[in-house]
Amino acid sequence: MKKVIEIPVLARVEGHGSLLVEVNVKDKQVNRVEFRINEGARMFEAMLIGRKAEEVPMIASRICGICGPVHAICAARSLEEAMGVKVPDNINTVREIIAELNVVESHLLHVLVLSLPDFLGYNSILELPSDLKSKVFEALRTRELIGKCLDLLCGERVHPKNIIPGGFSKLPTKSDLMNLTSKLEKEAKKIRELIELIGDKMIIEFNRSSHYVALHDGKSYPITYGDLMLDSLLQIPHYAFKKYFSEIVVPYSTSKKSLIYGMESYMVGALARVNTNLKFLDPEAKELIEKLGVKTPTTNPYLIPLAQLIESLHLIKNITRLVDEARLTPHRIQYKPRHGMGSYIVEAPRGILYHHYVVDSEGKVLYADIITPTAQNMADVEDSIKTIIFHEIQREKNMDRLKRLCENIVRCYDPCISCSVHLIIT
Amino acid sequence: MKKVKIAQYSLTCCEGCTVTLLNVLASNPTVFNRIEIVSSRILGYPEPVEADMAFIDGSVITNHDLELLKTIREKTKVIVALGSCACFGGINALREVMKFNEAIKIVYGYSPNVPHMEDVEPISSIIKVDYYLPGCPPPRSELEQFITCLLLGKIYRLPERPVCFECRAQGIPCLLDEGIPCLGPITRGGCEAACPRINMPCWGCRGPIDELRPDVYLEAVKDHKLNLVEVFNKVKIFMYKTKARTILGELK
Repeated sequence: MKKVIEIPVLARVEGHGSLLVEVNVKDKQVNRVEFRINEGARMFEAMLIGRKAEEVPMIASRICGICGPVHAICAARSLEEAMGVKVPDNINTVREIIAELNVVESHLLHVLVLSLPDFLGYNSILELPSDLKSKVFEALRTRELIGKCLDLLCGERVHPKNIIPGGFSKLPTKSDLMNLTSKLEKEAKKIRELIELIGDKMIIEFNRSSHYVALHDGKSYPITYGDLMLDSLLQIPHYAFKKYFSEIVVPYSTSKKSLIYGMESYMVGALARVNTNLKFLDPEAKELIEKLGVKTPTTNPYLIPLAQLIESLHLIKNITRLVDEARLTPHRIQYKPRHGMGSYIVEAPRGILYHHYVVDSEGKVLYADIITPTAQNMADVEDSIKTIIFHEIQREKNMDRLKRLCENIVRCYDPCISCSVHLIIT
Repeated sequence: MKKVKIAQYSLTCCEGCTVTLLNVLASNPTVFNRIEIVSSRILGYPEPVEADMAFIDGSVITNHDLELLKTIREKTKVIVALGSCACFGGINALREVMKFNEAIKIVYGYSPNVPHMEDVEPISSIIKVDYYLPGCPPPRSELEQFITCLLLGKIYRLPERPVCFECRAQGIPCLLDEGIPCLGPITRGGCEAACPRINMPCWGCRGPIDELRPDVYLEAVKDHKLNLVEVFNKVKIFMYKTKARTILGELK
């Protein structure tokens, strides 16, 4: 007897997605799992063709309303790779600060607004009991402060205005920046208290080992630099990305699926980063992981939101450190465009983001290729659902509960569907 | 006091406008306490329901967007087009540089099962829109003003001055004088010249002003010896589906 679990509109995710799971109740098997992306195709790669290099980060950031700054930084850096432009280290440090701010901003939105209601058994953040709701809104004020830092550093938090190949069109003064970021120290304490309050409620026991891919440089917890690390075993430089990871098209979705060697699913994002760079986490963050009794490295996808909170705590502390040392001049270098191709990878909030460009001698884009974290996580989401439902139907036949579990795990992965929809022109 | 019922819907877009709206609501408790959010996919209420006011961001790209939009109009008293994609197509319309069906064949090799429209449409070409809040995303101050007007029962009007006006008011040096193609003269202000302020040209994200004078702008472009093709390419980014592109295209 076949039964279909269908969620036509996934709520509390960014973008339009739906889910279809077909189970065979009699034989206790899962027939198929389809995570469908129903967002309209927006064809950003087509839009970018013929555009001048300095216009590209601005257009690329419009791919996503949550991780715009990271898209812009990745575009600027891969164009610099393509045109052989070397920018001074201090510019890349400011980019790292912006990317880290963006990651924390996105994490707090995802954990508090999108994912937390699942773990506490509510439909929406608006329905939480009032004492908890006030705590959550308190943490959203932390997010507001992070947003203000982004406003100051890159013009606008949603879509940055000053990021271009060669640096920034303008940067604020160091004292203005310090005025704002000096308040962040207090916020780290608030995040810590929040983890202590809700951390243990965000743990659901489950294991499914996957492959974990994140940036790694052996010295720190990188967001915009370093090489790829697969399962803490294999180091892959960013230009070899396409050699190891390939995309396949599926008929039921406007997003493509990425697989290792076209075969195995893998996970990117906060959990993969924490697994890969555990050693370099802030001691306070590590201590919290131990306190919560989580074994690391972990293979439990339900822990992604918790990993995001832990990572937020680490990054906020790291940002204040970086700002102390950062120099905001020179903010830009002039360069001469040249013909070439280049790619770059940064850690977007949801995992590694790959931009690849070919430009002509005037710096105009001839070819663009963008691979987003959500497209990479697609296959892993489906595999996780398959495993969870398989375990559950061995003893459980309550379809409503299965449906809730499916929704919960999809939201844990924090899919950013606007990002995942783009076409590749070959 | 009766709370104002607000709905928030996203069609095909990046949802940055939604994030901006939620940021504004979450950081203004006095406003937040006077409204009730009855529909919002991102907050956990995906179904369209009866509401006093709906904020819609994104443009109509799939057939599903089209159907949803018609349902929303029936259930809502006042419709607000939030952001440039909803107001006039915005950056989504840039997709039309290529014929959709041709591109889809090159890319996928077959049509995906999500039925797409031939063209990218702003919501105003499908339903009646009561208010427009353009921008990519709309400036926060404008959203705050708009919501305050709404709660006080007043009508909000968009500023009808070009970005140039705001540059002058703040004493920002003119980028056209520096030989940088800037769309400030033809773009609606209200953003406090956010881009020229940080040394970037205006990209025209808020769309053309009502009283567009393309002939005057073209003259200025020629006077400053700027490349006409480059300027026109810039107009396409956000204003592909607006009168600014069609008129300038003809004049060019």
